[in-house]
Amino acid sequence: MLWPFVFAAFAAAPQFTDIAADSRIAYITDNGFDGKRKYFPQPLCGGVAVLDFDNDGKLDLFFTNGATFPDLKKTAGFQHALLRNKGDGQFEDVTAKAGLTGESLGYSLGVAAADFDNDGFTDLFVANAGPNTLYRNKGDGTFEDISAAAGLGKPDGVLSVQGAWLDYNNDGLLDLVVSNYTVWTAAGDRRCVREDNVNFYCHPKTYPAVPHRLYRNMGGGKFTDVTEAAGLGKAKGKGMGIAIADMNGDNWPDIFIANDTEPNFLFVNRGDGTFQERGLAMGVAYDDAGATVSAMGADARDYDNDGQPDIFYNDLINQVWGLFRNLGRTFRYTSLTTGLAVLSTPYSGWSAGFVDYNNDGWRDIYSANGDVDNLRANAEQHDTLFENQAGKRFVDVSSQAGPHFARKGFQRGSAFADLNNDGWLDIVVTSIGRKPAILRNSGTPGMHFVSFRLTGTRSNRDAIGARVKVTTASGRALYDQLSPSVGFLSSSTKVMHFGLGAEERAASVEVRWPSGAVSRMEAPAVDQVHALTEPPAP
Amino acid sequence: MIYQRALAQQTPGPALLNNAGNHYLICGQPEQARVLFERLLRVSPSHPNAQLQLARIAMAGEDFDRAERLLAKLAAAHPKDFEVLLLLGRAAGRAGHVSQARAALEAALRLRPDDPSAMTEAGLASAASGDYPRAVFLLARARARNPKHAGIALALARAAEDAGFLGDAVAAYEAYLALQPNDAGARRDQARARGLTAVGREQGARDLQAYVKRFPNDALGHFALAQVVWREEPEVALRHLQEAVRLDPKLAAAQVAYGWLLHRSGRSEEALAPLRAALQFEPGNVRALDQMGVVLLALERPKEAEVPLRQAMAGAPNDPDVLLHLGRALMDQGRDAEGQPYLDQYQKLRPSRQRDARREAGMIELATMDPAERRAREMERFTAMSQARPDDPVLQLHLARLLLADGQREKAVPMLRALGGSQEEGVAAQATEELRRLQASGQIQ
Repeated sequence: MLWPFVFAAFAAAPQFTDIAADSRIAYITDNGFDGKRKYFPQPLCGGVAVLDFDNDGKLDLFFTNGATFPDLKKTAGFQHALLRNKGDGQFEDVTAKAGLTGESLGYSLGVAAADFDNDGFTDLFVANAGPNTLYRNKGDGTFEDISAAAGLGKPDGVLSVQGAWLDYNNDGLLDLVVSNYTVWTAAGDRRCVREDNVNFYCHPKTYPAVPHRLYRNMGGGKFTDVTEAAGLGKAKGKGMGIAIADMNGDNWPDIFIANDTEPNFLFVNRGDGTFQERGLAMGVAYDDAGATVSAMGADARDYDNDGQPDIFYNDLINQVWGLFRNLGRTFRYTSLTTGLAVLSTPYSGWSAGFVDYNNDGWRDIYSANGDVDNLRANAEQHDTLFENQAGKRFVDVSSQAGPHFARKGFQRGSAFADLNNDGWLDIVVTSIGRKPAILRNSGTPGMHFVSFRLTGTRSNRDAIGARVKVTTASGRALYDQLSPSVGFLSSSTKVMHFGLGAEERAASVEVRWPSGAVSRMEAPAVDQVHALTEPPAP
Repeated sequence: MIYQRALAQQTPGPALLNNAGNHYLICGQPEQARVLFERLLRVSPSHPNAQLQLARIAMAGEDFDRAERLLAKLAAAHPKDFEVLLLLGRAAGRAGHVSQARAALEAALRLRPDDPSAMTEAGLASAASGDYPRAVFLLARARARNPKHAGIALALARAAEDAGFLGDAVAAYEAYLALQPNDAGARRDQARARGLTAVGREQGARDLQAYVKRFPNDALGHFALAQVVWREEPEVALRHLQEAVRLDPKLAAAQVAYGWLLHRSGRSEEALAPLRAALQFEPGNVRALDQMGVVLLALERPKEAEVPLRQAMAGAPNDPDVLLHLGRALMDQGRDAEGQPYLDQYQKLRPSRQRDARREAGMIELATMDPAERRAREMERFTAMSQARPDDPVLQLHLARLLLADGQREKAVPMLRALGGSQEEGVAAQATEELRRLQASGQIQ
């Protein structure tokens, strides 16, 4: 049985091919920059969500977009886009038919996709410079904007960046946490000009930090703002990416929010409807020099396969991307020992995520890159793929991953999913001023996977918060927790994907549902997506 | 001969002892003078000339502690004596008592604000105590009065570099090198300062590469080059750090830098050796102890990390980095109750990462102007800068203070009110304090 391992070791690395050009995609990420005057939110543009909006088994794509400045109008060219996956490698623009052009929304940022009302159809939350938006999926291919009655209000002028769905009180209804950046209006935008009269994007310190917000799902399409009651209101930050996971193994989902130039927050769920901010105590507020960085995208997954979700964020050029290994009670900053410091220093990263691109069972790190501004010589950057070597080190494999990884631009949002159901994780990434890239993963022969599509019954229907452990035939254990909130401005697949390397059999899978129920499946067939439903109450 | 005969009397009086002591000093016989002044002090313990001359003799013999003791007594009795204060400052500085030296020299400067010697000595004492901005201010003024003095020019350049006024440091080294063109070490240090500026990295790196070719056995040259290129070329920097510590293993700063960069490059196990070497030569080096703790933490050895971090804490109980890392080491061992207070203290002391508003070149020029001229120039400069960078609340605060000092309250107060809501660490508090002071003095309601 040695040969599969040998084969895997010498197999060519997976290649990513951009297939966007095969479809008629009108969408271009447009942040409204006119070439002269710069407005503060413009670098934050181009969210992407992966969702199967029509439940046809093929994952579709939704993109958010910017607006004109200073009037924040979504005129032609600034509209959102919903692309239906036709299953043949092409996507069909069904935005208008679905009612998702977003023309009344102004400038939009992040998107979070989940079935908040447990009706079996994935809904969309869109974070905006103005009021945020909740689109309910009506199940007939169209969406309705129910924001007005949903109770997702926020203080005037608050610039929201991203939303993340979680069931923080395990009542079976998905709640929503929103990262906010500051108070900003186009009229009050600060103008920053160099001595040579060139505009530049003002430093984050120009604007005040604000609290992030937590909304409790009351059912019936209604939410209540529980920010203060839940203990999130006192912590002011400049929120970017959100990662959700049970960080301390107490069966309650915790919230990590990456803050730009402010300490990062780790809101630890106390299980009584409240949270305690413990970023400093648990070692994720700062890097190991005690510095804040421009933290951007975030993800929480198990990169070293020890059963505990670790935390990652990326940040700007000349900083170090943050990798924090979960020790159970605290986190250890491992950016240096894993080699990530040297690899990441040249890049300004935005969206990012742990993604096992080569199905070897170790989660690699993808990052969508490009500087904040367009003023540096190296402002336009290529995306990066850092391969995880047995949970110990990362190496840069970008140059071997296909032409996309040589293309320079201002990439922003990204999402991960197996778009063509071939068992390999694909990547979708937006780039300011360009059409998105839809990167199909070629895979590598001889590497295997097993995936699970979970459906909650007592838990929330999407099973967000479920914890899955796969044990391979050789006894190797792989772990993940279900949260589509990955990276920056974006929302990834809810299908839980496990690369198995060259192993052709899995011994078992165990699912711990948010309700506390446990399911176990022996010897799940590999190279398949298994649908698992939460068992009914005993 | 006259004094010898007179002193042969059984009980020479104070006047005789004093005159004879002075005579021997003038004749270049300090040992005889010392004996006489010592006798004089036994007769008249507070005799000012005896104290002064004994102090001078002690300084000439490099017994700075004794000189300082004598001068401190004298200064206590004669607090307005400029010469005494200046000498006391010199003596204390050379004895390594930096804060006493600064106190004496600042007192001397209050008596004679424009005295070049006092400015120079006070500048050196400020630099020695780590107050580099004050050192730059004083040394720049001293240099303006004595532009051909190479020692002052070099001290100014070093103080400017240590203060982080890198642009100024480059210019100050240039002025020094005009006086001492063959000082290769200063040229090396100028290249390092230039390399650390935002715009001069490439030039600085080129100059240092040329320097290490010419002086391959100068450990400081390799260290300087590594400091300039580590971010863009970490492998090159590692090679030069390795060479620096090979050439001079006792260069603790280079050993610490080598350990730090090895760790940053993911070679944490290897980082321990240079850090141990640094501690072998400087067992109390806080930076080496702290970095040793950081590396051991990263290697998942928190219990071992605690040892050097405790030692670092003993040497620098308010060092934010040490507080953070010791707190982490304890938390990682599950000793939350012990660790949390260190983290809390760290939060209180965490140094602001804000940019220093005065790091641009121009500090030295400003220091040499009279106060009114300086304020006008600063207002002009900061007004332009704050308009160009409205995102920088530190600049705004500085400008508001300048306006207040210039009597332009109507412009300053709205700025201070706006800054009261700033998120910048410390700025809001400082702006609020300015407003409170204005309210207390009835200048605003």
